[in-house]
Amino acid sequence: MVVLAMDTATEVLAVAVGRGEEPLAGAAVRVPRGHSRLLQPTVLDLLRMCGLNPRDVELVAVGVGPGSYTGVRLAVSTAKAMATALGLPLVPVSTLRAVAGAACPGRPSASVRVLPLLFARRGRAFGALYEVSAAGWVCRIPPRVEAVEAWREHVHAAEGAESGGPLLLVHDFRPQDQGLISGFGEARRMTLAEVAGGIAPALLQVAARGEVAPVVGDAVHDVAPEYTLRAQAEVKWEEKDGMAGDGGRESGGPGGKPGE
Amino acid sequence: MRILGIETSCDETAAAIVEDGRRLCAQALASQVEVHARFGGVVPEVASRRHTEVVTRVTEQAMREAGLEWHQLDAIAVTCGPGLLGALLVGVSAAKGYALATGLPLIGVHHIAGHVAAAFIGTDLRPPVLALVVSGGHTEILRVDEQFRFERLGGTKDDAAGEAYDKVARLLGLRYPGGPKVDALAQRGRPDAFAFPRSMLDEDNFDFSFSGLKTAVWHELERCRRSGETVAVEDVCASFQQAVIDVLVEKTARAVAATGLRTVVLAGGVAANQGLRRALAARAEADGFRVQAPPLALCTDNGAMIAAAAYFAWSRGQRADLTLNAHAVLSLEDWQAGRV
Repeated sequence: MVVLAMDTATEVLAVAVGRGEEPLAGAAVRVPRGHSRLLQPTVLDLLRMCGLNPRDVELVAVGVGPGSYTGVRLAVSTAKAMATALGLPLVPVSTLRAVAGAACPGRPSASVRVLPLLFARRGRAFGALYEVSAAGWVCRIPPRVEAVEAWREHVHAAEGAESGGPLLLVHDFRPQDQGLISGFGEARRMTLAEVAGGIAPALLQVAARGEVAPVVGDAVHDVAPEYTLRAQAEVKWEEKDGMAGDGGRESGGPGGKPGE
Repeated sequence: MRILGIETSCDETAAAIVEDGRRLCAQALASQVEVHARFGGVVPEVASRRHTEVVTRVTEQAMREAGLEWHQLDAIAVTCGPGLLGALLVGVSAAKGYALATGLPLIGVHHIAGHVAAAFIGTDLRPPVLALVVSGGHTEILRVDEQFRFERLGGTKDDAAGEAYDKVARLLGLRYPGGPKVDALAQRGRPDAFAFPRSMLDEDNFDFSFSGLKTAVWHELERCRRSGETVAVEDVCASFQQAVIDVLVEKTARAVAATGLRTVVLAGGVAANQGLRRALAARAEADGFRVQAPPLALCTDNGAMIAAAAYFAWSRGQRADLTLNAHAVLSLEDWQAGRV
């Protein structure tokens, strides 16, 4: 089965073509503000490299964030258009799961905890906590945005109770912001740039192994990014007019991270 | 030649299929007006999110209503600027996804060229024409040559006319989007009740300025408030609208005289304004030129205008490839030169 995977929610434009979970060709492009220009040409180039054309694709996997608001919409819009035009199932995968998978591509014999943290400004990070072992991937804390301090507490609290093994922290914090992510104990650290080439292959894996169920038929139209933060204007409006739901006190959006 | 046009530059997600730039096969549209009304204006992030949720469904709806399959199309067109960057990117990304999946050629369309092309749908109108484009974001006088190439003769130096309408509506406490409400109220008011300024009429160019007019309305409302006078909202609207229309019509008539073109295309969201339509038609009759405006439904943003403009652009050889990008700011010159 020919699988096409793409993600544009981080500074890495990640694309891969695979036969099942086996990557045939992949690209990780870190050209600043290049995502919108380069996504579709990259997809076509990789397919051609494999001797395939777009009609040969049988399954599309797309990273749905969280991450850059504007960025994530590029791949989601493109993937939805491709999947609906070709009548293909679409697998929406958390970008955090893909980043975690990129940091830990194999299946370790002893369990490892993987914490992907993507910078969300104002001392916050989009994050999730996964545990991976020979048995596969388990999501311990689902994707959300929190203060980095809160992520530290989650990790320590988990260590107090039942350790899921050593911690692997993978992040996109710039050198000047890395002070924020100190104090995660003995965690092994990797940067997003170091694991960039593994993001799209991780999407292939998740999609091909059925870790996330494919969306089929008319429902493909409803696939949308997982922003985890509401638009700032909506939050302010609800605060002002007192019609807030549970998210009413949440602070605003990151207002667009690099990567378009 | 059948072209699918996709438009997401502001707060309407729209798609349509048009044949040879003239015959509308089908169109679909998801308006966000209600979504943004509570914020008093278009919120870019909210608009972009909404576009992403509905863009493929709107496109499929247009295709289904046209009764067409992808292989029966000849090209895919999309607005590539100017507009809200995040919003534009959704349409451009989807259009590139469709082009990639189907192998159909791609055409990037300038939003203003789209508004002008809307006036050609369902008509036998042929360029060259003069175009007056008036919308929430634009007020421009353009010369359109035989090959549908644009030359900007003049435009607003500050607020667009539609922007002035919305700002005056806000001063009067009318709910967003206030422009059409100002037009409706103006029908019942006295256009000579207030002497609002006609900016730049004494200047020998085709430029406009509307920010002073908006300020004049504000001063008048303040004066009334301080002196305890009741404000006749209808009169304010009628006087304001008359000031806008006088300038638009006069400058357009001068451009007709200067260029020798005998047809004026009135396009853009404010082309739906009844007062403007009447005044320009009256002046056309007096001066002996013809006015062509799109039907009301094609004045505001839509996909058909993008498909129509794409046909004319295609006819003179314009194409895009999968590197097509979105541009918040885009001149007609750059677009025509393929710098997209």
